[in-house]
Amino acid sequence: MENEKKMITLKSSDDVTFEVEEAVVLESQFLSHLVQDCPAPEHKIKEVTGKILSKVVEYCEKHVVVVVDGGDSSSSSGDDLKKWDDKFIKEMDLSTVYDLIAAANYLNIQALLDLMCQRVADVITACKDHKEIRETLGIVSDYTAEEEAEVLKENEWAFD
Amino acid sequence: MSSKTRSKKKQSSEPRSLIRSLPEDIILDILARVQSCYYPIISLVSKHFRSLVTSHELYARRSLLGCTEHRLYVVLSNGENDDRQLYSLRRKANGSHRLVLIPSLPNIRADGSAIVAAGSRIYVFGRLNSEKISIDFRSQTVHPLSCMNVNMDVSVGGIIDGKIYVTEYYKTPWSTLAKKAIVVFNTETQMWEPMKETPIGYIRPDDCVVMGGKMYTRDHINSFVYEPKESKWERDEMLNMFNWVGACVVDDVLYYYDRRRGEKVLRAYDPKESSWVVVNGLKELLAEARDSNWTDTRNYGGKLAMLFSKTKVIRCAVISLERRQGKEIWGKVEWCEDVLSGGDFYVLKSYCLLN
Repeated sequence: MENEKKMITLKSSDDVTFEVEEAVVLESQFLSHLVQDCPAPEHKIKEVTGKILSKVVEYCEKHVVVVVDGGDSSSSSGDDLKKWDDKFIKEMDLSTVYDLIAAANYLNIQALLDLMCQRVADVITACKDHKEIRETLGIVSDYTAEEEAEVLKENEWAFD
Repeated sequence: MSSKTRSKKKQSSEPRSLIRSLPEDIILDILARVQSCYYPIISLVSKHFRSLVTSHELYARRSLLGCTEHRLYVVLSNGENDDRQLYSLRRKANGSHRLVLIPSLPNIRADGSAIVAAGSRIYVFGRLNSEKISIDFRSQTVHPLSCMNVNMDVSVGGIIDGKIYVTEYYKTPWSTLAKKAIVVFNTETQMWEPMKETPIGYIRPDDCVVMGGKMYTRDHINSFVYEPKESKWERDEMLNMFNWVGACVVDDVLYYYDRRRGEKVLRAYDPKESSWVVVNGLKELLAEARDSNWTDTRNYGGKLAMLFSKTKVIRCAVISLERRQGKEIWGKVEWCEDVLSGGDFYVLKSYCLLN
């Protein structure tokens, strides 16, 4: 009764393969073009590792735009999706977040990119001061003590 | 099957560097999503981060992402030495607010100029030969406007659909009588449109607001409404019931603080209903503000900001407005704080701009 779904195989840089429905692939602008231009059954994505690609696939499978008549078994409502997203990012360490941002950027999956960038933004705002931001994001300050005091003075109002 | 849940709370010794992991473009994208009250802290992280949060690109990105914030700018006069200075209302990361001096922008002459806020800019239409400029508060830059070759005596202006309508008087060489006109400056093309003479007597408006695509002005006797499509002025008798000066508009309703009568109140005029009401729910705030010899009200991103003084302190209240049962309007004070202290300050003008 249902049309046979077209399946596509994605292969990561380290040769992990993922078999996904075409609809899932269409979440990525980059892959949509790739699939259209080159109708091979398998596509190697050299820039993304298996660990990260599995996350990308997990995200896209959840977010795939489903056009189902009546039934809601595979489509998720906005609220559910938001909850799922929250859980999805909560379990992730920053290193994975960076890799996922790079992958989402490369594969052109805007919603995933937005979600991950917001996650880093939230991490920044959760820091109590600039030192904690440095520690969390692995940034080495290039200020001299005088320069730092100068910037502090400029923004004095924000800290008193 | 998976064996990834082994590291329970593993503290990796060296966190991976954000900067080395991601391109600058993405880092900008991340910082654009952070509320601007955290930018002073971010500025302290490194020179690189400081240059990012002060860059024009960041603000362009914020607009693109819809992360812009409304910011209140205030021209203050210090009664003690008559200094005029520009301040902006900033939120600290801890949630409190302060008026912060902006030393890098020119003082805005409020006298006789029509000043109109649009987006991140204010447009200053100076009288006669004096300058006509726009000041972009986001980039902190000043831009001269293209010239109009008529000597105009500007009074007030308002913005409707991206076009600034300024009421003017001008003299032709062959007549001694001043004529009244509306000149239109298109903020998108940054060009003037042909001048329109308007058949209304010599009025010198005290105030001007825009509601529902129409411009409302008043002089000391009458209130007028200008309909831009038909270039038509009409009197508005209902609006004229109260001497509304220092008014602001939130959701197409005019608000002004009436301090002339015994009981000081915040009045609201809805042009759709042609009716005035007193805003309810503000007794405590208005009691606090009653001894201030000035007040300033402004639309602050859909809320009403009210500034007033209290012994060498400027206080600011932000009020959310709610309509109940048809005409009733209720105000709820979201916060009210000292935002500047240590001077005999007086607000000359305030603007709410996008930042």
